[in-house]
Amino acid sequence: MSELRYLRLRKLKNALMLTLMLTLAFLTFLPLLLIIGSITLEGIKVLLKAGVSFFASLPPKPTDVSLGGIAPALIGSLISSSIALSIAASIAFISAFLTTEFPNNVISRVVEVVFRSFSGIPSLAVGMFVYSTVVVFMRTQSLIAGAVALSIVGMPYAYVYFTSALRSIPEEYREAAMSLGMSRLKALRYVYLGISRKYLLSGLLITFAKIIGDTAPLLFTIGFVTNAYFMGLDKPSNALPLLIFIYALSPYEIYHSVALGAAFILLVTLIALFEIAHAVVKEVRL
Amino acid sequence: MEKRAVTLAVIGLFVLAAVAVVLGFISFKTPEAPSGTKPEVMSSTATTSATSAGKVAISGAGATFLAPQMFEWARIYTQTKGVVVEYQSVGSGAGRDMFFRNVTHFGASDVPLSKELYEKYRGRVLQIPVVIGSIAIVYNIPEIPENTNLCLSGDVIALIYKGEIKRWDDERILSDNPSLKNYLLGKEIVAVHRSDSSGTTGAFTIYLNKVAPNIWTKDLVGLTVDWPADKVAKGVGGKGNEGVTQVVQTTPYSIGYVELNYALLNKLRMAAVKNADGYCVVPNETTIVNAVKSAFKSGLAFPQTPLDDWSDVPQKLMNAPGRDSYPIVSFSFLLFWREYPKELAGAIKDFINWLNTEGQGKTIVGYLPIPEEVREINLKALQIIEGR
Repeated sequence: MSELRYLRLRKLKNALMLTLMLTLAFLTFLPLLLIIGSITLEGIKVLLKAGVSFFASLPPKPTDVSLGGIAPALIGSLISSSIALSIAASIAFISAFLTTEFPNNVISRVVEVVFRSFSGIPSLAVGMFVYSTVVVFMRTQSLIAGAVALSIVGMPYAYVYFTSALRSIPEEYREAAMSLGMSRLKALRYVYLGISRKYLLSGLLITFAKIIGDTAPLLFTIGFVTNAYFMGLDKPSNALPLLIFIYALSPYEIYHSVALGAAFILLVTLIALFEIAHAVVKEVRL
Repeated sequence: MEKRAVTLAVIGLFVLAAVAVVLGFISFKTPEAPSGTKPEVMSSTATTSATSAGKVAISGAGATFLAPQMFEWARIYTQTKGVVVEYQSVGSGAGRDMFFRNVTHFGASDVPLSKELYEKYRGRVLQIPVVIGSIAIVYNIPEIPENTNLCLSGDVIALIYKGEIKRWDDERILSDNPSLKNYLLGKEIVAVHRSDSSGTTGAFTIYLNKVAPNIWTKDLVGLTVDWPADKVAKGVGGKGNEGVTQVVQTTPYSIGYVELNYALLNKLRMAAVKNADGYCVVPNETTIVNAVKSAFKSGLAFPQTPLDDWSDVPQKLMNAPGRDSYPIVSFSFLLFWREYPKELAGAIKDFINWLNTEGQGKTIVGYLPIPEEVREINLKALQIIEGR
């Protein structure tokens, strides 16, 4: 009898805790859902109103009625992030390989500490640094300066993902490769890359997402071009997050709409990138 | 199977990058191709970017306040003249830095160069006021009927931000607003101000110091201020004009100061401000332009060329006399070098000329064209600027 009551009590407790946990989990997700929901709703409205030309035209003047588009920012974002990703990923990969293969080397230790602490530097500071070096040296803001700033911001992320990918390779494989007489580079090429390629790829994608969504490093480095599409790699350009930031702060309704449309496009891109990264890793079987 | 997925993803990424670059170059070379809603814009950018030899683009950076007007001007100028003009709103301070370091071709600032900076760049930098801005004193008192304007004198505004007038039914407020006696019962004033460094705060405190030097002392003038109201009364900060706007909108019995366009576009209630001759004046196109005209006629010495020292002009513009003069007005300045590379000097001069002629007819809500007197001074720049 008492045992039955005890069981019932436990079930009750279980149910109680479960509802509590679910509510709390829901509450944590709520702000996120609201943000995604509102951007999606408003963004789709804007996109429907502006049509395909939203991707191909220049942003509007404050007094315009038609929404125009975000072409300069799209082009600028894609080019600067692609350049930044290739710089960040190659340096991060070489460093990751170095610190995994020679973990006790002095250089490796320094590299490790530098990269790990780098991720804590505010990205605005990176922007200021690139401004006072690259931009002032080139005497103009440019796509390249923006890409350099973005690559510095992305590098520590890429490094962390790449090291964890390379370090996840089981020691047996490493030993097997070595005992076959492979050099470290050969082992990397024929053994490690094959095993860790999915983690590497997901790291690459997440770094790309980080780079394409960051505003602060671009604030003083890339310029804010709204009257031309593309003027050259060494000339000022624009970027999606920057456009959203500047337009959202302006008092004009039309700029708020453009910012929402751009935010929706950025959001879709980011979610897609993370989803692909997630899907790639999930498939892994060793 | 997995391998294919990974390869596909990698290829996808590269295609994305390639498309980006190709798209860039296509629009760079043949901009007619992705013809959207504004074909005339594209062809005009084409003429500038396609002429590889004399490719000229003018870039500027500075005040956030000026940004919408500059976006408007830059687009129209790019369309009609085929020279690309770009403007970034990074704030007056950063904009000046970019200008002085030659990162951009012109700077924009809500305040003229200080005496010190002017002396440092004397004879090398031109200051050109391009629009009149104005600060609106906004409030949120639900009880006041739509058709009535609160009237505040400079002294009263200073005392509110000083924290010495704490309630809306204070005698000193009521004496200027006898008809509102019954509406302003016992509510505490929330004084909203900028929390960030801002040209708006600079202009606002210059005004307070000019009209009430004993209440608002010199040490309370600046881009950032240690607000007395925060300590002894209900003072609140907001970031940017949009921040102050939002706080005032959502806080009953608050008062704030914002650039006129924020007040107009957000439909905030604006106070009439008592001017030098004791008239209560609401900010609008007539009263603001009149204020500048009246200041220029008042016998004060204003600079005669863009190379002169403009540092005390904001102070001279404030609290102009006359029945129709709104007392809180200011200029927004563009900064130009006296010397530019040869291929650029002509374009810069044409831009300055355009800004002071056609451009003045293309000002947008909240920004007012400068009067004829000032345009004449500005146009002297055309003789001063030279290519080297």
